[in-house]
Amino acid sequence: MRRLLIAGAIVGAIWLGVLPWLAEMPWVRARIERFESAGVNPGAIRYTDLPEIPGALERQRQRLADERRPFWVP
Amino acid sequence: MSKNASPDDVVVVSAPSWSQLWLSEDYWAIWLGGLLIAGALWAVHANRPADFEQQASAAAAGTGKLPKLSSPLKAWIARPGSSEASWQSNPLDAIRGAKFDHTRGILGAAAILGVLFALATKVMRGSLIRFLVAFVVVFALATIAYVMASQKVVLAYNLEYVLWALVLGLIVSNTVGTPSWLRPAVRTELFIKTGLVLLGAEILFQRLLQLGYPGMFISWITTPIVLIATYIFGQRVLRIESKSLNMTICADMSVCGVSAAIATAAACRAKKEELTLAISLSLAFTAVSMIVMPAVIRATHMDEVLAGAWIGGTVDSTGAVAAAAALVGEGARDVAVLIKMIQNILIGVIAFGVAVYWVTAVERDPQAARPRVSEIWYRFPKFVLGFIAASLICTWIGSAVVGGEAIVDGAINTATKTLMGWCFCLAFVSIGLETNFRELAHYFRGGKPLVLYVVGQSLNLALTLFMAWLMFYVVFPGARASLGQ
Repeated sequence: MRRLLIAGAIVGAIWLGVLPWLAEMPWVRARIERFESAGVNPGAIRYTDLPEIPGALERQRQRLADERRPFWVP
Repeated sequence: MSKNASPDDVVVVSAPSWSQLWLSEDYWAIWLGGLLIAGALWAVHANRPADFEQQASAAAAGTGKLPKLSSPLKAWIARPGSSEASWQSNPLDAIRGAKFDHTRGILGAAAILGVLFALATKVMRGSLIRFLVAFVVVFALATIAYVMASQKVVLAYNLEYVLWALVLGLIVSNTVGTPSWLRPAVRTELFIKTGLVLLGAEILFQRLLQLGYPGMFISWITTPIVLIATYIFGQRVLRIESKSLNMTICADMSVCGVSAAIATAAACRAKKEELTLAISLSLAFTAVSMIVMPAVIRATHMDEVLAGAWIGGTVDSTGAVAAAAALVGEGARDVAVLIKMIQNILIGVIAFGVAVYWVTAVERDPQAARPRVSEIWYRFPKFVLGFIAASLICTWIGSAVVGGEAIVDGAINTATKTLMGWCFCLAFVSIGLETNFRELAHYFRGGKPLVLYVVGQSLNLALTLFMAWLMFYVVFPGARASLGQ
């Protein structure tokens, strides 16, 4: 049980102490802000988790509609 | 269980009989996954606006926009830390924020999955009450894993929830040991297979042609070449003893990271430790490539369309693709996420192909005569059929039914996507609870998996860049001009 408590304390210290401190570092802060402002979800596992997909699909539909019959599409 | 199976396998084979229909996890995954997908589609369809068909017809004619559908299930199915719910110093921000409260959705997901898995366990001759008691704890660990993954720094480096689910399980099993009362809910196989059937609903083949021939060549020609070449390299040159480990690493590296690794590991009956190793390698390299690739692209002044195709075809994780491409530019991001989407669709074909190859070639006794169809059927992982069926049915609804695309998207976004994530998270908590650190260390010895990954990814980087250049600069320069606008 003592080993479990120690492991739990280490995890708690990292997530509640080290990571919040790291998030304030300028280079990390800049990276996080860049993703947030671009609406990116870096934790997405599947394409359906990506907020960009509907917009990208819509823009692609528009491109194809504008070109009437693009030769690079079957 | 077959003579070669072990309890460490992600998926095991049971002796053939009709009772397998209600006694095997393979079939239960199909029943549960099918029920959840059908329920989600029905909820969206029943909740559609009165003029939905007219709006959908107008969208099909190009005179309107396809409406976005939702369902009442959305309020009852959620997870901590979705895209709007990351946190920096207060973990509760992943569950409740100014604009959202996922508490009811998390409890709802626990209730839906808990009841369905408990009923399946009861029919499979387990104890319903014992399962439910243990499930509460396993689900709580999965919730903590999601909260850990949604910390802003962790999120920014794409260290996904499956890693933390595994870590939490490993901490319990390697400190106090997994208590016997928790074991009834340690159901890796059931959780993974059900998650994979739900994943099938997202494999929509009509999206295959979104980027035309260039997209197909970059995703559907390069990826299988890399997968097969790396597998052969692992067997012939590195002589990796475990073929399932070799294949899982190859799929993870060449297709799309975690979900491809899970699907392939289940299709080739890899051991739990092998799946863990493949995913750990992938997450480590993804974190590096997210930083290095945009830097290389900027340093070489690479065209955005080419850069997007390169990132989309080579960075393992879907989220990391969007993040790395966003650091290059908006044009790169569109191409990268569409290439990755097309590559995601390949998972179904890869899982099916690997399952067929495994039962007909790898597991075949070299001394025996050619296996009969009944033998192939008996050994074939049936949940793969549920996975393929879910994909084909949702593809058909999405392409043949008026407004079907909006209905399928609604079902995925309001229910099946989140439930699939929970299934995988529960599966990785279970793997951690069943794994000993020492057993895991055994797979890292000799460094062959690392060499396989590095060589395979190097080939992937070179071949994808060449194919993207060939497509966008030589064969279809018009496509590059159009996408670059």
